[in-house]
Amino acid sequence: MQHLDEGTLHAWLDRDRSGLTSAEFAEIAAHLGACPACARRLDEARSLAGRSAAILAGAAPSVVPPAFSEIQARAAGVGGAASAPRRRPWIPLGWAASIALALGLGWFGRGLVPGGEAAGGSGAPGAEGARLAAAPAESAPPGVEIALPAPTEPRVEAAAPALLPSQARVALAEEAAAWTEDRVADAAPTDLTIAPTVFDGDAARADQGAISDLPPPRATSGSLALRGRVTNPDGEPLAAVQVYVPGTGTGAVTDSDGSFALDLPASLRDTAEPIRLTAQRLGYRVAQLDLAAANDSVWADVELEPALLALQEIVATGLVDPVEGARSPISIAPVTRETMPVAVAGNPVENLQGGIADVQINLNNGERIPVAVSSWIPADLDEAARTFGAPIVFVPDLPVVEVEIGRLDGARAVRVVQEHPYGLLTLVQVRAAESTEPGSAALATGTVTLIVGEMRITGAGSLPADTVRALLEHIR
Amino acid sequence: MKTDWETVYRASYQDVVRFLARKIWDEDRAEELAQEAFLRALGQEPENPRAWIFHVAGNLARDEARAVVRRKKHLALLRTETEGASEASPTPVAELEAREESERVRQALEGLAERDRDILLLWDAGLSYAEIAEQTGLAAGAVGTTLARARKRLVESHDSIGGTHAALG
Repeated sequence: MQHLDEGTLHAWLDRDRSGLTSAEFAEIAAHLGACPACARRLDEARSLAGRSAAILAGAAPSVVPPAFSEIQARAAGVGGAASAPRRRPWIPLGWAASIALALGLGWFGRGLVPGGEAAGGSGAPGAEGARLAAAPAESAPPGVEIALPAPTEPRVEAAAPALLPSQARVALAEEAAAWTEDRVADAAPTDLTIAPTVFDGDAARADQGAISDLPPPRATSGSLALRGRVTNPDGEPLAAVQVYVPGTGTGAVTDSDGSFALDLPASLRDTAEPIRLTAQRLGYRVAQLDLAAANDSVWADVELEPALLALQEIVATGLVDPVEGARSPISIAPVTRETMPVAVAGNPVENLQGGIADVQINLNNGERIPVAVSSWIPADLDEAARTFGAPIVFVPDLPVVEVEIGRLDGARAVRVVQEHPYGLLTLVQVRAAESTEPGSAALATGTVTLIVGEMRITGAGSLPADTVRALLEHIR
Repeated sequence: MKTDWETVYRASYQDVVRFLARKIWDEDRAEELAQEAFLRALGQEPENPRAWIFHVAGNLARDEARAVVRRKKHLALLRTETEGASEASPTPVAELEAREESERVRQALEGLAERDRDILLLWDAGLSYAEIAEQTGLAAGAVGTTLARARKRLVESHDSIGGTHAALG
């Protein structure tokens, strides 16, 4: 798996002024969504950026600018007092505020580092890979094995007409728009809301005016247009699927219609080798298709089979600071073999019990959870952690919509819902093993369940026992 | 189009002073140089006025640093200001901590390579990656990587200096 390099992670954090193109933005977002290792490194980078900003603020003077007219007067050569530069008034309180900020951020940052190291284990990526890396299909995590439905062979259907390169732009712009509204405000004019629902040449031409401010597409003349659509087995479109052709550095993410557009080097057409298209999305089995490129355009219909995530892909959080013994409220790490020392038998998620503590929630603007939320959540989760080894929660760079702690047949359940651009994404951890209420329908074992997209749990306050049971069934 | 220097001034003056203050470690002098930069700007029509100001300010800071070395003048970063100190003085402890912290920041920054320091300060002043690249001579694509390294070094350097911050952390 090629990971995002440090520079890319920082450029992502500074995306309001790092000049990322919409295409880069979308690809980084897609990678972060699919790669727990990079998501964790992003968190470290965020901590670093926050701390360095706080450190710099610790020596930033407060400044009260003199009126511009004073500058003009001096420029005009007006003599006397006006020609002397004005001195900065000393404002001690400004310093105090800076220090408070530095201390506050430092505290957060400190919690992050040891937690990350302790939990990092084999998950710590060493590779400084290509900027726009996509995970290769072979990188399915080793270790825990979960029975999965047999893979369905993806279909390849007839070729479609060649399409304008601008559609790639539209698709990527849409992607970017979905990830953050701020970004699209910068990157594109407001009339970008025209959705490229169908790959239609006329529509694309009509859209061209609206997207003229966007960066040019990667494609160059003489390229091979690969277009297609990704669906689930029911034929419903899948958005946010990474599609790419390994070895070409070319990839895209599907839009809300499941459509994608890739412009490949024309040289691929001339070789005898088939074009290997890879499609992957969190929660689905990776699909690979070999496509024959007979002419200038290729159409691919891809079907992705749902799959439960291997446990390594779950990002667990928060560990106890090994030095100070303090709980670190913010850290993020993949679940590794080290955190699961027990040989897997039966339901593998049982092994996670007691091995995870605390909770992390990141917002997509780099801030931590809102004050209104954090004022009660940590305390409650701390208690939860002591009680049963704790909730896990994650997904970096998505806003938290709701967090709630409920009860399930006498045991506690934590539910976090984050707003995913393509639907709610819900993470649930339930440990019901402590349920002792007589006659309750409590489950005998704990579960950790990640629910993505269509498999959505709703319900307020608690999780219905039958829902959890159904999920357990699904895991098994 | 004529440059509206007043708007640039309003938007950037504070940032320029902060930028300069952490390069030459003399806040009064930083204000003087910032004003000097804007004085020189009047009548100029650069492509990117804000970047231009930082460019001039950076040059002024370099000249200043050389002059300071020549004069062997030791500039105290932190001075006790008599005027105005009574009306808005924080507690003595807070003041002391602020002073210690600022000195640590200074040491941490001065321990960095000049390019790393510049890139951090320019970033802190709100410049875009493209502007930073232009100013430092870095390739635009290298700003993120350099900034990542500079941030790491600053934090490490700062933490290695120790002090109340770490103890409280």
